[in-house]
Amino acid sequence: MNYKTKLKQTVLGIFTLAVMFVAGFNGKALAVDINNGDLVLAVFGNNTEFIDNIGAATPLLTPGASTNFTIDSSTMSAIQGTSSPAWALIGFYYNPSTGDPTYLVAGSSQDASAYTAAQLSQVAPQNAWNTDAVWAALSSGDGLSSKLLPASDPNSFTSNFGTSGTLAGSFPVSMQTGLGGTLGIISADYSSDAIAQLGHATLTAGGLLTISGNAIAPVPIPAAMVLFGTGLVGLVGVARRNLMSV
Amino acid sequence: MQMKPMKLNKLAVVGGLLAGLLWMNASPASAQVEQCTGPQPTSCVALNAGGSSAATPFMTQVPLNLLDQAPNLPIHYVNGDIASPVITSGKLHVWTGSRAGVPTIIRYSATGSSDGILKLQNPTSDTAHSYMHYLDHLASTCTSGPNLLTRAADGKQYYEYTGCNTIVAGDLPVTMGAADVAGSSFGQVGPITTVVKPLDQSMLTSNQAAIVPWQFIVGEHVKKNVGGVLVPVTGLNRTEIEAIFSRNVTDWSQVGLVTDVTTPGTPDATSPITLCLRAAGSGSKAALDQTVMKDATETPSGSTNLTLAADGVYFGQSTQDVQDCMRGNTGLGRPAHPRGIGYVDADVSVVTAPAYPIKLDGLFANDASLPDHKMNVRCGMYLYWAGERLNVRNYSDPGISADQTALMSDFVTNASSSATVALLPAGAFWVAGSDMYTFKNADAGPVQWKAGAHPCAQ
Repeated sequence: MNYKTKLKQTVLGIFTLAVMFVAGFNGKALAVDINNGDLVLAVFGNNTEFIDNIGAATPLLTPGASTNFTIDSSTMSAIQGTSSPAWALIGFYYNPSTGDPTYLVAGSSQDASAYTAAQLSQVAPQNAWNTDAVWAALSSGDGLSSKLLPASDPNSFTSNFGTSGTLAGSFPVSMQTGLGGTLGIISADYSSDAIAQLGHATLTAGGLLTISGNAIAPVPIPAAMVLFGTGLVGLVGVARRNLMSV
Repeated sequence: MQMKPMKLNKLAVVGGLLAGLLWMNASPASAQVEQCTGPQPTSCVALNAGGSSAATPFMTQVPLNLLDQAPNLPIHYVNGDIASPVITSGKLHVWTGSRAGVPTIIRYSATGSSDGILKLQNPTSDTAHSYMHYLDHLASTCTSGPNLLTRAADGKQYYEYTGCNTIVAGDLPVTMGAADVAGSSFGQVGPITTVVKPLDQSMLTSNQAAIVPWQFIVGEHVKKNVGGVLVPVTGLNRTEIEAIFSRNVTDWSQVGLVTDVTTPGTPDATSPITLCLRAAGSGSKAALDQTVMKDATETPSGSTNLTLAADGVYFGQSTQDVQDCMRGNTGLGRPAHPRGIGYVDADVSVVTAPAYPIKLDGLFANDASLPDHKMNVRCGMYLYWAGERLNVRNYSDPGISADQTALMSDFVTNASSSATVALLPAGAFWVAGSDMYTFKNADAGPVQWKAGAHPCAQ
């Protein structure tokens, strides 16, 4: 090891110690900034969590859109350890001019269409929305978009939403899944409790997250188009008869 | 034995003495003399306290316990509504007088409990973080006073000025804080842009001076339908409170209640619930979060405009704001919300008519039907309570003299006694720590039992 390398390592070590000292001195864990309309990924296992604000949900969930995100291998290793991690997605929307809650966006182990009537009657997104908004407000301020933190941290996902998978009791089905699994992304209206399908997400064991907006459905031919077509055929027929009779 | 008749001159002397005694009894023991003259902050030994509005009762009685009755009586100054900065009446208190002959001033600024911690985290020299608004008793014009008042419980007298209108220019450093809860109990949001994170109070010595309960109040038109007759609501249980304050329930009918705003005595077609909440930073809100909202989160969304009449969610900065939201305040253009529900200090809940207090899980904080009215709190059975804390710095601050430290220590000792709690206007609801059968080391609980036998089990 040459002198320059040694010096570099020493400086790096001092810097790391200084950072740790400042963090310890402040007695405050750094946390992720989360805002109105952001979609947040939480991956948790091995008493560790990775919280990642992957950005505004609306463009990610535009019909036909598909976006990939990669979580680095060291982060995935820290979460996986000897346990099987789970992951979830959540975001909250409110009217910025009034502050009134509008809807919650969340990953669901079932697509909206698979919810039974009984399950639909047990959707109550208010508590999850409130918890998410409070979590976001208390977490924000450090300017970070992602963070690996202990599960016991007050700013962790499970400290706020619990480990039951029901998002603070707001849903009757699991709102999380394991690595390699798929979550439907649904919205839940704060006032009416109604849910709607917005897209899907997958997260591989290797750390590849894919968010897709609802697939573009085949556009049905409206009845008017059928009538227009048959009318056109009819008109051609009339014209031909007229021409032949001339 | 026959008594000799008293001579006329002796009668005159006795009569004169009696008259003198009567005159002394009818007059104040001392004249009104201001001990703390200008310029501000004055040369008096000062205790500048601030924080919890719930702690205000301490500031109306403890100074009278500490200040001398002679040669001059203490003087108490209270603010009226101040326009700029906006400070509603009764938030600022100043007591001046002498203590063991030493001129002394005790100030209080009632805001929110978070200030009772935040303002002490930095030294008194930190003007940006350690200063608060205080009433300037010298520059103020007051609408009433001096009025000579006597405390009925012990005959102590003082002069009082109310409606005073000027704050000390440049503010003053806080030397003692008051908070309804521990710093770690903060972590609330509401309205959506107002955030108070858990507060570090490792640099404070925190003394639980008294146990303070809160009660829920409902609007005058929130009723229960009993066989077609609408009667006042008796109470709500914790799960109903959680559902209402998280907005999972937004109409009274969902918890079996009605409202009769349109035609008194007849249930309204719909009965939307209005929430009258405290903004983040309030100890009442933090205590609610810790003791009642165990499994749900209070909504962080709503308006701060208390002049709106619509049903919805409103955030107030003070207990008075919540009272105004519930019963209206025409002077400030604030309409009542007769379908509302809110939470205030228990002693305030009984003076917010026509809104009225309800039981929580079947219990009142003060139950006149029990031999010991405060039994539910003393036994820890009533959920919504916390220890009112008086906080002081635990680090050396060159800005605080030994005399000031002694004054703060005496204040805390006096405020913590059963005798003082009994004297307070809130004394029917508050409990001295020494009179509790139970205690909590964290606001959220669990409730712990003191050693010995206690008459709590039903």
